[in-house]
Amino acid sequence: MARIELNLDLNRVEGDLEIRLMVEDGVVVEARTVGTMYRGLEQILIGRAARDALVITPRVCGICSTSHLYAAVLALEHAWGLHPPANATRVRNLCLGAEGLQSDLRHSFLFFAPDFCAPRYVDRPEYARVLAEFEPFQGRIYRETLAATRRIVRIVAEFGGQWPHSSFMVPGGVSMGPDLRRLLACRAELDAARQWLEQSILGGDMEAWLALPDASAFHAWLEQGAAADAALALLNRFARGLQLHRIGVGSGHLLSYGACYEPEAMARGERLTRMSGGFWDADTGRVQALDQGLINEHVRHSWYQPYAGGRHPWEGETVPDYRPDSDRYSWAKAPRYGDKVVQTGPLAELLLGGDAMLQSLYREEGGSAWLRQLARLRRVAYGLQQSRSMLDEMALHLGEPHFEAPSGAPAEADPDGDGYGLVMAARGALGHWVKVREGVIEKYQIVTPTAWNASPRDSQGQAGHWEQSLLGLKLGDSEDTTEIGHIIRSHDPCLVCTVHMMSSDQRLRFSPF
Amino acid sequence: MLLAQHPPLKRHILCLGNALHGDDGLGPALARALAASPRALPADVSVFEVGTRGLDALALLEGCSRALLVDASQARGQAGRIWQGSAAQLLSQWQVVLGETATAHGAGLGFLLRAAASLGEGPDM
Repeated sequence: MARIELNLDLNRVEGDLEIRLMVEDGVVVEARTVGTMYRGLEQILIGRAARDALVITPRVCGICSTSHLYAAVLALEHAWGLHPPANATRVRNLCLGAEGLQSDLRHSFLFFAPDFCAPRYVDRPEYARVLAEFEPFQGRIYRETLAATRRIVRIVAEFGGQWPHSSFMVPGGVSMGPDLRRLLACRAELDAARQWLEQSILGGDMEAWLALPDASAFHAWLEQGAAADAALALLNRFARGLQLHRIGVGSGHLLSYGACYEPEAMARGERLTRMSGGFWDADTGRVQALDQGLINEHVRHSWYQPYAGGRHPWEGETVPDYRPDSDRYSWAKAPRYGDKVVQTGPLAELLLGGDAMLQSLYREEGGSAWLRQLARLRRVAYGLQQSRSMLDEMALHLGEPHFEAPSGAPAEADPDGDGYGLVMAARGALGHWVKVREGVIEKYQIVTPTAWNASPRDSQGQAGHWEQSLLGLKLGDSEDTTEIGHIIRSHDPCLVCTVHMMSSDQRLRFSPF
Repeated sequence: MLLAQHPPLKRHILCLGNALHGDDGLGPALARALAASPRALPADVSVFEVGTRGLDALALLEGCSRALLVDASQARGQAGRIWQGSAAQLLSQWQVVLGETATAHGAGLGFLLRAAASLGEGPDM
């Protein structure tokens, strides 16, 4: 029996993460995701003024800074009992939507699709067409995506002054409300993005695409007229040819916090979302209403000062305790919902949100690397639809407030309180939990989507979602990590993803370029 | 960084780097020095502190006819040496570094230059 150990080093530029695989007779039998960098954002925040979280936490990430800002401001509003006026939520949703469009499109067409240009696929059907569309810096769709995503984040800049790393959401609202010029500018960006999506990606009307009721309607769509020649159909054919709809399942438990907060409800203090969230328990086959009290983080296999079991983020700690020679192996903690290992992301968001077409595909084929990527592209259409509805609602409510100052005389210090903020970021469920005491942050915990997905083992020894998604993978040629690359990419890793493979005496490198 | 409502600018100075990361702070330091003495610059020149997010600066290469990019580099030899050249020269000499970006999180300066070149528009750099 040939047993080799592969180290997939995903960290070339930022130094974030590697994956260790044990391979027996060409099949992955064990996987470990290793967060190689201590983040420490939570420790930085302790003792600081509570509002510093609005400036510091967006710096967690250069791609999804708006989602961190949104989670941070919701956490502070919860702690202080503030309810943002409806226009504030509309602006927040619009900007989060624009950032999500940027992320989903770039990931799909600058990073996932170019993997299909790998030289090993040269003899596959439609390879020449794949190159013409997706080859880095050359392909038509690749270059159109660069241009389209450069434009779409202008929407965030209209309200936030800049993107990324803006801090325009403040407890009680946003710093800049809608006016006619901004609405028209944002509408122009959304219209351009929709036109491009319909012509180049879908090959048909976006609303008709969103209305597809089931798997057979999906397959029929991809075979008709313009859609059959568009990028989505090409990706679907190529991905299925590689059997990507049969690999990379991972955890069957799904988590979504719900997408697009309802502006009028938020103004009343009710945190309702337009697209519902929840927890899909794969063991019982039922959806449960979301209970953030069930979220807890384990450190049994992480390099933090040990505690027993899992802790809710309000009780959490992030005290580093590096022990490279123990069975601990990651700087990532292991978040769990109850005791369940979950996956989160566009697939979880849309399945729990009620997308009939994806639900039908999920029932017929199960979860997979391709279904995760397909869900990411489908969410682009939802993002455009939701963003447009935010603009239309703002147009009906121009002149209404976008900020409501806390009542009473200005206090010397911010009041004490505990709060949480949950949003669906590009990569899935993102939560911030804060405790404010004597005007400063006593505790702050951030649970990112990639922490859920790329978690190490927990106190019970249960492997994380990514770790599970690689088990059983048959490596056609053990020196070629392209297939592992497809699965990792389907998770939209919040990491730099250059893959190294270690075997007995050689070191190979995987990269689409 | 992308600024809203910028007027039609003619020349942009883009300063890249991490101010908290030793010598990589050269770009931000220059940006702050220029911002502190705005009268030292002609009226048509704007300075941007880009940080470490390369691809996001693509928007700053719009609306200008010339762009000057300032960054610290390990690949350019002896510490303290200043190298000046065109973006095209950099692209042709720097293939190894450019090949290392494969996710949106890793899309740095090399990615930015290739992206700008592939779009076939933009300023002299």
